[in-house]
Amino acid sequence: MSRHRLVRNLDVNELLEEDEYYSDEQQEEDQLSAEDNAAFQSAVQHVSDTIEGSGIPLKEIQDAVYYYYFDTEKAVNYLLSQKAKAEKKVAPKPKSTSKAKDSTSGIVAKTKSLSVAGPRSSEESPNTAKHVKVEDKTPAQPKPKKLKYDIPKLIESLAGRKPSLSFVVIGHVDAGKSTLMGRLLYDSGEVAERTMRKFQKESSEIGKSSFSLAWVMDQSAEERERGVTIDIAQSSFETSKARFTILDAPGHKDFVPNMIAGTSQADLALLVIDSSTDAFESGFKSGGQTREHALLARSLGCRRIIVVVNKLDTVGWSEHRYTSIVEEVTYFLSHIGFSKNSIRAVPCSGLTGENVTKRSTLEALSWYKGNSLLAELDSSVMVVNRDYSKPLAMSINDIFRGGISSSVVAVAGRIQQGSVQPEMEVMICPTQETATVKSVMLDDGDDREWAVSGDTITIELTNLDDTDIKVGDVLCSANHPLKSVNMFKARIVTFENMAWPLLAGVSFELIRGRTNRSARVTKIHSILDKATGQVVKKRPRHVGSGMAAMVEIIVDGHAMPMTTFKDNKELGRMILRKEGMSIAAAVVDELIEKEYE
Amino acid sequence: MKLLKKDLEKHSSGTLVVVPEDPEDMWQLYNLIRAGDVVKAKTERKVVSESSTGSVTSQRVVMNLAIRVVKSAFDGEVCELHLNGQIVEANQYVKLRSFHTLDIEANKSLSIYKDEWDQIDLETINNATNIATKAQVGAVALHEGLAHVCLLTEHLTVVKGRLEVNIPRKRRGSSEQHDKSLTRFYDNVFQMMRRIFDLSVLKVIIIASPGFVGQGLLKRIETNSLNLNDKEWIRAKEKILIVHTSTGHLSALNEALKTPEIVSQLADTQFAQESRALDRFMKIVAQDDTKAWYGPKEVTKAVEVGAVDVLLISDTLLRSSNTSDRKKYVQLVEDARLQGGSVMIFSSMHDSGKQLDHMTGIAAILKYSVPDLEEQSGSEDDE
Repeated sequence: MSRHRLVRNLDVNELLEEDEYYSDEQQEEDQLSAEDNAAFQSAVQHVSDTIEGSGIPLKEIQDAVYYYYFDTEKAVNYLLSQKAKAEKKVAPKPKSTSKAKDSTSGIVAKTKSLSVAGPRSSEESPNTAKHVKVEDKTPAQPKPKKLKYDIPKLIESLAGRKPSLSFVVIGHVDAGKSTLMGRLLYDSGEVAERTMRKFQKESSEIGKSSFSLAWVMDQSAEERERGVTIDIAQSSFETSKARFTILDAPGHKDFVPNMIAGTSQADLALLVIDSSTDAFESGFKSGGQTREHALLARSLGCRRIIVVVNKLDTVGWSEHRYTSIVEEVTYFLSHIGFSKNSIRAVPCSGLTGENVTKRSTLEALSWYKGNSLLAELDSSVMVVNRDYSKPLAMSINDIFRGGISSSVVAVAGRIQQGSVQPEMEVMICPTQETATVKSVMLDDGDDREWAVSGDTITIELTNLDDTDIKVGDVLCSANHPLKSVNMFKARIVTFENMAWPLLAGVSFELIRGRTNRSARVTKIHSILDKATGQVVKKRPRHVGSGMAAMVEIIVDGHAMPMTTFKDNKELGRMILRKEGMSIAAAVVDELIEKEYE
Repeated sequence: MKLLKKDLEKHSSGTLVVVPEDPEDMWQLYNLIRAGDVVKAKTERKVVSESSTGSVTSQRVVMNLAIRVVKSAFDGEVCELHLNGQIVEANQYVKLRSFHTLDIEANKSLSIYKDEWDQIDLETINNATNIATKAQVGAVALHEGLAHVCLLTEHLTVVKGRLEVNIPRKRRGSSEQHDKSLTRFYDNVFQMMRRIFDLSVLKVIIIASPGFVGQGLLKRIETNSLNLNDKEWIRAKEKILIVHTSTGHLSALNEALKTPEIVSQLADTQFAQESRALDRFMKIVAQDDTKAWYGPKEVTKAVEVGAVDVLLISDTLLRSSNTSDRKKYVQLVEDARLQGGSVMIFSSMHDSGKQLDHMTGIAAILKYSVPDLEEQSGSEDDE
């Protein structure tokens, strides 16, 4: 392990740290990859050959090439027209005006007249522009296809719109998660009266009338029959303040991989707790899903959590019960890394609807002074920094036949970075099949035709065979596919109470979003100090419970599209599970491009 | 495996004549035959002859050939054994020392000559010729959208079929696509099972899955076999054991083999014992890592101090092409036994054996704590 790598990895805590998006992208974007750099150099050479003798300084050429993303033709046009302009002016000072700042403002002016990427505010750096350009670029020549929407411009228009927030509903099996969400949707008018009556009738026919609200979320035949949520149910509703996307997670321990898939799309977690006698205790003890879910939410980057003390009607709205549960849960949550002021608590009953959408007026609940659940959600809306300037990456959560014509494949997922709009050329990683975006639909009901990082969307793709695409593949910009690898180096933090030690050779399930792959550790480089990230022990024999370590992981079968955690937090983060238990959270540190046997 | 001639004594040379019958036997032969052995079997060879006029004709001639093995290869998918080596007995068609590959075929005899037969060789032969140990189990590991259909024998896990399909998720308002493709998925798995499993030889069929997937499959098996009026499969229900596992990846088999339902059915089979032994090893490492060690150096030391309770060793190490390595490991096995320890030789064709292979192939559970077995590490390569 090289020394500078050690320094870079100092902060192991970053693993469980989630400052979602970078505020300062400048530094990273300035660094070109090796291939990009080669392309850049050759493009600069080409441009300076073309305009030889015109006296334009090298720095300006470089800036122009960089700005036009190595499109030499455009760069030449731009430079020549700039020069012509400069000559018109009284005092042409080609050599002294070669400051980067000048060329930047020049570019902005020029962009306006060419309307290549539309006007933008002057504080935006040319580097940001470069990445937007990346998306409209079809493979080098011929001319880039012009797309309908100019995302950076439109992004500003978002500011006036209602913000959107997606939250995942987690908790032990039978805590009443689906019922609560059914109640939330029903009371906020998202479910028609007629539909609700139908559910009531049908559920009482099979003797499960108390499940009628849950049926709003549990749609599949099997889920209704068994009265258990199996897969994530996604739904949305709108308040006067924001648009919400619900991800209702299954509580049963067998479906934790599905819960992970849902949680990795969420900004906020709703931890539902069954407060009835003994139910809280059995869900909260070690091995219950309350703890595991909360820990997973934390490891997957949820920074805020609302503790919903459900079914409080069954204990007569006891304040004592409420406070003792909240105390115990809050203690645990702060122990696993939620900061105290990011934890909220609400008492309610999903079945009766008390304190869900409206502040309760019940006498028995008069001791409670806080918000209703819905009001609490409204107040949790936060402004999310949209990381739209990078090339598109969206991992695919669902694939189905779209629309009427069979030539269309519909895929659903949440954009991890970049933006997407109709007619864009995209590439499926790892198969490298290309396709064209036919339409983009936002799952939260917003009527935009384009989407950026953080949006949960359904895309229709044409020019693609549906056998060429699998759940877990990543949809990328055609010019910037992600690297696909079988091996990578990762920093892991193992959870407490692991039944097995992690040693080289032990196989486990690797879960990232919907991807569920069989993998194993091939090498344990070192044990790290959890607080400082310093190497505590080199080449240990195994990693025990509650430790941080640097390991090498190999994924069985075909390669997996991947980025480092540094490049993208959502895609660079995963959970390791073995025999039904979550054993560790991992972040990708380095991709290892090696032939896999 | 049928034994035709066995004229062997430990630590001396001798010849063995056997007839392999099934894939399991092929695997045993692969473990038995090493570089340097002389193997004689009936084989086909292309013979090129030049007539006096200079025209060249080639024909395939069947003959008995003896070769000194240089390398051997086992094809895990079709369970074939190929031995490559130099010819040691010349005849009218072939010259001494020219190379030839013997494709070992089932139900044809072959003879094996070794300069020295060791303890483990003799055990392997006993094992292979004992009919009592021939259990065959069918196994399906599956979760939504992924299924493996496998055959398990004493020493082999053969994945006969793998199915991976997209199952659309339920969506608000409709889960029709999901329900339909799930049913289609179950039907396809059943078709695969019908094609692959020979119900007359299978003792048990294990269906290992998380959630309700196993029950879902069983339901489709029942419906389909009734529709097809397939009596054999209608009766097969008694043989089917649904086991709850956390996943449908191949590792689910290992997990299934540890469950009480399976243990009570298949306790005496080697693969179930292997799974449990490895599990026990892992648990001991988690509790007290001075009582369980892995790695050749560590285990050798543990044997030296007489602390080994159970020695776990993969047959990959015993197949080692380096004769002195093999000798070392055989010695280790014998020493461990002398001290009253038990020895389990893992098959690298099972999942548990593969895992053991990944952790150097050798491990030991000790009778008591030995804290300082670890090498003074750091001296070896660090990257």
